[in-house]
Amino acid sequence: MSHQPFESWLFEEQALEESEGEALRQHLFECEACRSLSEAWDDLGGLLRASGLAAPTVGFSGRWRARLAQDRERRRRRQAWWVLGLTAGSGLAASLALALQTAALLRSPALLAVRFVEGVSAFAADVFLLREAIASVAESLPSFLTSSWPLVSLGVLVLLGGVWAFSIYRYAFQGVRR
Amino acid sequence: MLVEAYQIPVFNLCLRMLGEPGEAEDAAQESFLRAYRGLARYDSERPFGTWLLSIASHYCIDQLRKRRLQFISVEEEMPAQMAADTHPGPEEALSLAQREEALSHLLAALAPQDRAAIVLRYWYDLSYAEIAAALSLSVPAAKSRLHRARRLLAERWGERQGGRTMMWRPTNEPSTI
Repeated sequence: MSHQPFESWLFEEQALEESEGEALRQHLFECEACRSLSEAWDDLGGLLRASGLAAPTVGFSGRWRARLAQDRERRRRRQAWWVLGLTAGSGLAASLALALQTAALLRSPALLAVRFVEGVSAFAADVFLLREAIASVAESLPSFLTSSWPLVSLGVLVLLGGVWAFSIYRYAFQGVRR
Repeated sequence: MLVEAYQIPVFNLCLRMLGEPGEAEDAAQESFLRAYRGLARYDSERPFGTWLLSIASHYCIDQLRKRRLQFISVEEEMPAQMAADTHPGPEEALSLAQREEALSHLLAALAPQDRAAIVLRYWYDLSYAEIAAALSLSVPAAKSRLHRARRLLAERWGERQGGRTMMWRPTNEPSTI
């Protein structure tokens, strides 16, 4: 005996046409398997719909707040380790590269001397170019600014250093909000 | 506070999914944490409760998949505190405990996503579209899962009753089709 579409109708929770309802009743009268399923589902459906919502034990939200605090602390620590690790790793890599380069130069003192002179010359040329560029900018500025140029430069350097230090601190220790 | 407002629905979902109050509490707490972290991603056009239930469902499904190969005993489970029945009498409490135990056994027989679909349908009265959205399924897939789950539940319930007169019936009306 075919149980379709009757079995589908039993579990679809859709309103049936009158003819479909009649056909289903006839099938259930004849088919014991479908009748058992129908009775079981009627019974269980009622049980499901009548079942209430289970509540957690008292103090759930307090425990959640504590867990949130723990989670924040754990994430803050992990972020701090990441930032500090990244900074230390970058520093180590740069030191290693410098050490390798220095070691190569130390094997040949003549080459070291040549590289030193080249480096000093390049640095002096860069400083000269920078000075020229600054001077050309300074000419276009009011006189009160040019007279205090060293102080302004120092202030900018201190400001940049402060921003850098604050950024490291912020990302390492205060970055976690949620 | 949102946790106060939604603790019962979220805990209930986790309990129906996982079957054990301790695990359900842990899952509910984790669901709230995930929701808190993901608040920026919340689409305000969607009901907040459904979004929260979706997070809890996905978390519970993941937990069930993780423990799929483990033996799960539901014999020692205690029925959780019922929000609706605060002071049941002894007989009522016993009946309640039996019903809860029976439901817990039945739900444990379902696959994780089928179980979630049944819980969302019968405890939260979500529509097929809402269930599909909550479980990241298409609507036909959600319907199919519900159909399969209902059939399996009916089979198990019938076997459990073993042809005896049904132990519990919510009304005295005959079965309606």
